[in-house]
Amino acid sequence: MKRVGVALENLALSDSGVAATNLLGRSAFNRYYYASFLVTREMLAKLDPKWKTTPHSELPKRLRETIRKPVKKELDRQARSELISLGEKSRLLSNLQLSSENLAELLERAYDARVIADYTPEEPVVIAGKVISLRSHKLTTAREWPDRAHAYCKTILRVWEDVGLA
Amino acid sequence: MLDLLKKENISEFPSELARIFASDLQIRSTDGSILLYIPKDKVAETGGKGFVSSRQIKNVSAKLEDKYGVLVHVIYLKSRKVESLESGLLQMLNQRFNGSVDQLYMSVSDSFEVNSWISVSNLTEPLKCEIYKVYSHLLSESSMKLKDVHWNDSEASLPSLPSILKATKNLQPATLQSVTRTLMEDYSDVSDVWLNKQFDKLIKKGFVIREHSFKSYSLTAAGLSLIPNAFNRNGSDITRALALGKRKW
Repeated sequence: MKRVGVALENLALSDSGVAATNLLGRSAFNRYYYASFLVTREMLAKLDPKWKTTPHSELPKRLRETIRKPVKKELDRQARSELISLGEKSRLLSNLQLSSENLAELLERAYDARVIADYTPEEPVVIAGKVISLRSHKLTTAREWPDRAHAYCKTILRVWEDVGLA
Repeated sequence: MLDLLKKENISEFPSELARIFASDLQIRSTDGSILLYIPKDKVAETGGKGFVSSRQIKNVSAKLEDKYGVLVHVIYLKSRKVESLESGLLQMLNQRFNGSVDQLYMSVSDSFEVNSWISVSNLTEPLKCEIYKVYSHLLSESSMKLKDVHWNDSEASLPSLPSILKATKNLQPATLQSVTRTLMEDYSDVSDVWLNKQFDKLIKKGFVIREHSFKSYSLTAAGLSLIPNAFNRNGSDITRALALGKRKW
């Protein structure tokens, strides 16, 4: 999916005329969002198979609340019985919180760009040099969304594994 | 067709919402919700002195939701300063380490503590230490403190004690070698010697017993009670049942 986004971005930057650049650039935003969304959904399915069908609008809440609750509960139990140290508990909680918050914020930004790209055609992309922007979103930044999402997902999954939940 | 609220109907924007540093406000065309755009570098654990706290943002959002009867979503805008730093530091590290650093992402707190996600091709322990040292030094030159690095390409080399308990539950009564073999599938640095030491710790804590006559390890009731047991395929009862199914008696 990211490859499609990159191809669309390159086409948009090639000398294809204002109208084509607008359409191709918008589609690239859309693909970069979906690539990040799918990476996140795949990670959620590894934590709990029934989370694979999490709708777009519920992702931030799932990341900020649902996936943190069982980890907190288990870490409390494991630290109370001295299976792990308090330092280890705090390190794991902080890793989970930081990665899930960063991922939730990334998906909210990306979803916002995707909705503008798909549903607000009257707002065209702006090109400055080799950078295409849509409102406050830059396509060069959007290109990194899937890899960033992947990095955060990996940390989240590792915390779940270390706790013994995944 | 949705009867959408209009941006100009939101009397709190821009003056009142400037208190929470909302740089823009939009109405989402698909569901009519209010979008508040707030630069991430203005958000701190506690508000005041040029910052706003997440709690303050939540309170203002709740008030707007009550007044206008629509959902309010906050879009945190990534700091341009952090974006520039990320790309500058990535270039500097690549200059020093012959282009082996593929990705570098930063999360900077209001107290200038930095958490990072770094991806490196052909990462080895010595290279990891060297990159950490140089990166930490570069940050300290910019008055920032490196808190933690998440290495994206490296698999965790050693499992946690809860992971060892889970693997032992699946195989019990389990020999040292069988647990080592299983753990090595996911953790490359596990060895019999290392695992034996971990079992000693678990025995001392009362979570595992060693049966000398069979040279095997089993979990005590206390050990069993500490293993999470989710009601899905990751649940330890399910993974134990699957492992028993595979076992050759």
